[in-house]
Amino acid sequence: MYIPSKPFTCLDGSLTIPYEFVNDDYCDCKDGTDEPGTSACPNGRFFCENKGYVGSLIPSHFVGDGVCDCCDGSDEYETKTVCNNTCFELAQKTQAEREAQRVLHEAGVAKKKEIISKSIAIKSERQTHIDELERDLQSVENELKEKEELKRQAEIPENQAKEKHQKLWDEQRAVRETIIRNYQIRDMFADLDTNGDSLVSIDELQKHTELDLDNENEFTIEEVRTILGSDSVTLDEFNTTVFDQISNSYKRLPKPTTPIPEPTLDSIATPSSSVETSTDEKNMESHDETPIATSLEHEKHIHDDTPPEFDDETKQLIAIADQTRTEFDQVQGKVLDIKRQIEDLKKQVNIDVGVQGEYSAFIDQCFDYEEREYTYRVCMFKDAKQIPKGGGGDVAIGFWDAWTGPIENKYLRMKYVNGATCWNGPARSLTVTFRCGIEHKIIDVREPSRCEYAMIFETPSACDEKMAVTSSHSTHTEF
Amino acid sequence: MSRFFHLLNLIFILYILNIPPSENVDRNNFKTCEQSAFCRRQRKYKPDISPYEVDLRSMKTIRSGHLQFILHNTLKSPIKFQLDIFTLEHNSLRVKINEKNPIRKRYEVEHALVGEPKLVDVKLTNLDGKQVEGSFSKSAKFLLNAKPFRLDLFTNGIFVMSVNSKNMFNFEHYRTKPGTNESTGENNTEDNEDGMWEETFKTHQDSKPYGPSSIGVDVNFLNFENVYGIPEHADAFSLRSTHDTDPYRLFNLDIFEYDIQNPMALYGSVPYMLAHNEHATVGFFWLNAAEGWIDVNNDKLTVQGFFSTIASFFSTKPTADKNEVPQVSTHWMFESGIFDGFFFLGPTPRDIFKQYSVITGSVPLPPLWAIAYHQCRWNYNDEDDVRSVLNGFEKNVIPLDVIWLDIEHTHGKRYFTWDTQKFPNPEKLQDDIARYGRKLVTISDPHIKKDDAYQVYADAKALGYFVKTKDGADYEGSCWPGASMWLDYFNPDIFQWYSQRYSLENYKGSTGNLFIWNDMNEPSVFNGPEVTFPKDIIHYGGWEDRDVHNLYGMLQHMSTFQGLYNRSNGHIRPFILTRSFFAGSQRTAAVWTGDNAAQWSYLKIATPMLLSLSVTGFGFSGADVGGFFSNPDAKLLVRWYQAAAFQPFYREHAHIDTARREPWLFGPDNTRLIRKAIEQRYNYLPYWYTLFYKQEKQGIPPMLPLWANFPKDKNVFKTEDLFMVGNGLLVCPITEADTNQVSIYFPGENTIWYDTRTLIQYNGSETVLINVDMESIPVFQQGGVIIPKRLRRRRSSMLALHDPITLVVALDRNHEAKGELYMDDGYTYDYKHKRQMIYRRFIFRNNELHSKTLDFTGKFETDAWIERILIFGYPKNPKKVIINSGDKQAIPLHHYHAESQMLTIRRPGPLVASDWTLTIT
Repeated sequence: MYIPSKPFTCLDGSLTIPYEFVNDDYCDCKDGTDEPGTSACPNGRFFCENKGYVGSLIPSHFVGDGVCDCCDGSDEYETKTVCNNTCFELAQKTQAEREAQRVLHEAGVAKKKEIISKSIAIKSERQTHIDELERDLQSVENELKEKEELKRQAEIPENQAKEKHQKLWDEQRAVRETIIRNYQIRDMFADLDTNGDSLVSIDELQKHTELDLDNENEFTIEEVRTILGSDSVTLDEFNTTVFDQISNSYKRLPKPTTPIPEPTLDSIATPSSSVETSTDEKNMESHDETPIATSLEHEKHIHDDTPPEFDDETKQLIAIADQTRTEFDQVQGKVLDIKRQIEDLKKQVNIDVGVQGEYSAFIDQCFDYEEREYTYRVCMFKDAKQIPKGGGGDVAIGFWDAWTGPIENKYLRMKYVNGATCWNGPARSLTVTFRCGIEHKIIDVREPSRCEYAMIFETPSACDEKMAVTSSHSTHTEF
Repeated sequence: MSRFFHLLNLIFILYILNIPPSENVDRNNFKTCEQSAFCRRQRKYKPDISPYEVDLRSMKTIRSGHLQFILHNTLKSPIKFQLDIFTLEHNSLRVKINEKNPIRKRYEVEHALVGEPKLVDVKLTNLDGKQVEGSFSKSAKFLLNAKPFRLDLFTNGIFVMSVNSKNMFNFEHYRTKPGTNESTGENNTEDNEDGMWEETFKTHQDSKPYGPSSIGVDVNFLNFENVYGIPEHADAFSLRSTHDTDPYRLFNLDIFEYDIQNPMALYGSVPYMLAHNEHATVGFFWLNAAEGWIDVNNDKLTVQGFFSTIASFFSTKPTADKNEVPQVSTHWMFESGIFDGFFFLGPTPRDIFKQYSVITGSVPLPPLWAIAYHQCRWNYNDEDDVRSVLNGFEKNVIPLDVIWLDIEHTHGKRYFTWDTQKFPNPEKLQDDIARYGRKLVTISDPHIKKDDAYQVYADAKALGYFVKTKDGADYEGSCWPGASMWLDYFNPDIFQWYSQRYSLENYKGSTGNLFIWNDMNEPSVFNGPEVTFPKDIIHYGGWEDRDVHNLYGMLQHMSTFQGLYNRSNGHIRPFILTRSFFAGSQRTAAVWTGDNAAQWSYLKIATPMLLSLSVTGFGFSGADVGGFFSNPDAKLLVRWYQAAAFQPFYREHAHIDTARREPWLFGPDNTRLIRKAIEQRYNYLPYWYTLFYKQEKQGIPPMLPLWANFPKDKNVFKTEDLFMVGNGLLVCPITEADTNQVSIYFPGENTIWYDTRTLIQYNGSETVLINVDMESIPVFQQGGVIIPKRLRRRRSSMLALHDPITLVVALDRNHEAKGELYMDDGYTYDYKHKRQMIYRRFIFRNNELHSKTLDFTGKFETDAWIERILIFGYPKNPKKVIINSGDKQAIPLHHYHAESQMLTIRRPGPLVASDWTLTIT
């Protein structure tokens, strides 16, 4: 390329210059090729011969800047800077480092092979297990169908008997409730009819200001009349038009009489049309617990409200049906359990654990890293957390996303994303970078940018077979 | 549930309005004029007739150039004031007004002036008992009117400024508190106005034990329409009328997430205002460190009464029909101190820069690396992080000179310490950084963590070195480290002691390659009134913070400077960056515009903010590239790198909550654009360095408003979207997203401007639409100017120190040009003490380019040579180029590009230090 006495053509062909212009410390070629020995071209390359070590090209702007960049110091030959020749030491150091790396990778690769072979076994084990479970599932699902049919058959007579029983009970209760209501109407009417003229008049009702629902002003005559519908009412009229309006709010005026507890009025006054279902046991219990019953009559009424026991025949039908239901539920539980197991196994089988399954040992594994303030925990293929040592809640720094290594080997980096969001910042995320090591071990966790965590993880899974090969052959050619 | 709902609602509203929830300053934390009692009183003081009168019979000549008078307030006859007039060299006048016999001494600002101003003789005339007229210096004149007190200033016979022509001079003398034993009969309700004896703001009470003490004065700029200066405000360069807003406020404060386009106070204060028109440039500087407010109004002066008698002095004759001239009237109000006004009478922009720098000092030549590119972040986490960032610059071939460490590098915000887990070996780190000539800057804030185990605290505590409360206890407030105290730098012993903290013995882990950043020095006190000191705390000498507040930050960085200076026994130039500043700060520190935001509007406002700083002495200033708060998108970041490449202090910085934004994190295209922008800065460093040298000598800032170079071009008096670097480069920063065209007015009649990228020529006095893309940094070289550049690539500026020079000669219409080049070792004081420097002038005339020394005593050893000469606007391909240097002659090759009219001279070869002549035939 550089032939003295011949004009020089820039390597990009853009210009031909006299040979004296080569390395004359002036940049003529756009590609910088006329100045391989000076710093004149911003984009040039300088060749360090580096005898005893590896020759290398450095950017030509390193030439003559007072910094020794070549181990043979050739980049500073023309300056006052004194550079020691460090090529020999560098070669030795590099050789030692390379050997150390080789030993490490060799040991690592051995472990990696174990993991891979285990992985194959585990993978086939898992598949066998899945197959077994799927067979089990088939038979259990058949059983479930049988149990469902048995259940359906037992429930037909059971429901008929229960309905019959319910109907009877409803009728009895309707009768009783009419009686109670009439009693209450008479009681309230008597209470209201203070002058005993068998009529409830406006002035009598007006004393009951609790009935003034708008609460804003006085309980006016007009408002009372609206309730009564006329100036006075008889017991019958009271029954048909007034009682239902006031029974919820009505309070006895202070008199030495035991007041009728309101909450029960409610349930009593409810027309029997609201069918009480047979599953009313809970309601009854809660009634029992409600500490409002103060009168004997009322207690009696509550007790009376308990539906009578089923007859023996019905009881037996229920017991049979219960039995079929229990059996059905049990089988259904089994089905769900098998399905979940299959799903879990399939998930594990489907995790991308490397080309050869070298990362299979990570499945269901968590690793911790202790730092000054936090413990960092990564649960592989699941999530990552930051756990404060001084107490306080864990912070999710990401959920499993994907392998994100370089194209040559995407399994050198993985990412966890969408962790807890930072104030004024992004959602936390974690990048785990793998490098060869003898054990699975987190080496370092940092937060280079706010809420973007970076973890360095050593593992045999990241060791490289190529690096493990004794490289005496290549050493010879390079040095 | 309902709270949750409201929160959702709020978030939704913020979302649809696109307002980031934390982007706006909480204005309630800061006083309005109405909430600051003295401003409230002074602002409404507008009597029809001024009660102040000068007793001309009292005139005494103290010495040549110093006259003294008695001034009375005729409404308060017992109170006498002393009026001192000092006629100074360089067309400057100083006027002091103080109480003659105050019951308490009034504070006079120390530390701000560079020295005692030099007096010159004054020739007094017109002593008719009503007025005194004095002529002094080259072309300056004052006229003191007795009844009422009024002071008029003239330059070259032109009437330019008038003091108290609007009767707003109002001097609150110290008095005894009404109702106290000592109070005399003169008390009346006027002395007991609300806020005179105490003032409460939010939960903070200002006890005001000395009562009212403020001073107001109107200073009016006759025939001017534009005034500038009084930084620091995030506002227009040509100051806006405050008729409908608060006055501009001067009170050093840490305004969290400051808003732009308003007159609120910021981190620093320089009570110095300039006015410019096509006839003159003048300035008014009131040396006062208390809280200040300044109203600005553009109005008209009706020429009648007195003014009609001097109408002949107006630079523009009043219009016949209206008898009016424009003026900018300003109303200055300070809470305490004295009136100590400096009037600079120009009359040229260059004169003004010189005059102000003679009084307060100029920016000393910084180390070369300090004007190169800086990489900062809150925070580079640890040594590995720093190294990996440095490696990023190598890998991406981007030059870098300085890397910075913010507060997290310390052991729990204890300055002068290191977090030894993250920085176990800081000396080694600095040595590694220094391998490529690079430096480290660490932060050192003024709050001292209250912790007995912290040596700096324990020693200062034992020595009684902290600022005191009004009751004499050590004042305690909170800042980054929690409970903290603040050193009282006003005490010379403490100043000295603090500076010694920076010695290599005291600052463990520091080396000679470490420099300092003083932040939070307003000071910022998280739990203080307006996030700063209470005004009634006590400094050295018994002065309240009220009197000295705006000096505090300056005292800190002056002491820091002293420390770094002493560290090398005065051999190596220190570098300090400060956030808070006052007039005079420029002598020891660079400043930046504090915590801006990653928004286009903040990129845009950076230019007027930096211009305001430049014209008031702060030629070494910059804005955080990319914006401190939140995340810039790639386009904004690239545009910011491009704009700031042409602004004096060039540093990328980001908040701890932001995403990483080192130059290579936005994809290869943007990395390339950022690299190109930073390379532009490095290419022009010889020019920048020369401009910084001229600044030290002449006070001319490197970054300039257009009117500084084109004082007669009326079209540029308000220009703030363009600026100049020296007189050679016109820069149009692109400050809007997706811009593909910019409209540029080229200043100056008969000038030629060369697009530095395309070499397209533009004519002065014309407005041109220019197409731009992301590659474009519209920068134009003025015809007539020669600019030295270094076109070689290096890893840092210091590694390029002896690299060859390229001269870019841009010809004017007469085919002439001139320029300078300054060079030295880039970091020591040898250029001063041993004259180790090169200062050369290049002149192109009659087809000859000459290199001559401008300083015969200077000598700097360098093998730097001239590798290339580019001549823009050369009309034809010459036959031959000959270069003569001493007895040597050479015929370098040349290349002519007809289309762009560029002549390239290949390898002319002479040493930069030598005289030579290049002849083109």
